[in-house]
Amino acid sequence: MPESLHIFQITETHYIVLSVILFCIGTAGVLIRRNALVIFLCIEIMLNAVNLALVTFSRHMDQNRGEVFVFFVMAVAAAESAIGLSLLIVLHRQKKTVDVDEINTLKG
Amino acid sequence: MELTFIKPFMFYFFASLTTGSALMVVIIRNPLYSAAMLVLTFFSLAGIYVLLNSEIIAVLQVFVYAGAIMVLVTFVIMLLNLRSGALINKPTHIIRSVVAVIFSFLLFICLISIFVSGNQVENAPKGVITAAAIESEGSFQLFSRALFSEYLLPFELVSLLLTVAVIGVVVLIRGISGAEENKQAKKGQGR
Repeated sequence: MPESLHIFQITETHYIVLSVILFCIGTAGVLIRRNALVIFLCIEIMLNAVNLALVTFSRHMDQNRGEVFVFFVMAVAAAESAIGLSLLIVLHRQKKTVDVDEINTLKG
Repeated sequence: MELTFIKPFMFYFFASLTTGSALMVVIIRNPLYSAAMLVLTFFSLAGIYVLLNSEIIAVLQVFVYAGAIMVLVTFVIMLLNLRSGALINKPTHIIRSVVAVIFSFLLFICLISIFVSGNQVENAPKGVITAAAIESEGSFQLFSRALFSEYLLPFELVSLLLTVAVIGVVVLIRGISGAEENKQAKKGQGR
């Protein structure tokens, strides 16, 4: 793969590098931000990066299993966002905050 | 129709748009603007999927992520009352930001070195869904045939999962509003 990294010849490596960049941006966001909502958005960025890697490898291997898997990832992400956001609403009603540093009642 | 000439330019356009708007999601203070930037990220990723010859994933990306999930997020932001100031990000401690950036940069280097140097993928057996097969049959047909024959059981399980998620949301929200109703009823009795 690495020797085929030309600028005007788009290969699978380009897509994988884009996916890795997106994943790292998502990781940095999860670590930096304290707002639970923005952390949720950054987790969505990470999920999308993984989806891009799955589709790229599926194209590279001439299969469509990766695409089917991306479909399932999207369905699970939809369920996760519904549950996560309703948890956030419940948390905001009880604690009047969505700052993850102030939600430390489980801390020993 | 040959689009090979403009394909690199399209890729760089969509890739820079995706990366830039993803960075803005992390940098911007106001969560509502972060959500808007995330919609831009999802749309440009749909463009990347079209360049990868998988139109079905591009369409699903726009429908599910840019449509359903982002509408839900925006709705929750509106519901949580932005004016109260609880939602606006307070400035993060500088040490924390530096550590986070260093950690994610190390992660970047590790992942790049794994993906770009790994050649185990090259030796694995290839499938039958080549570019010519997609051209003749269409990616929608190939995707749907795989989904509804080989992956029928996971498909049904996912529908079950979505139903359980809906029930879970109703239980969570009803629990909290039921408690508030009880409190109000007690107040009424005290008066």
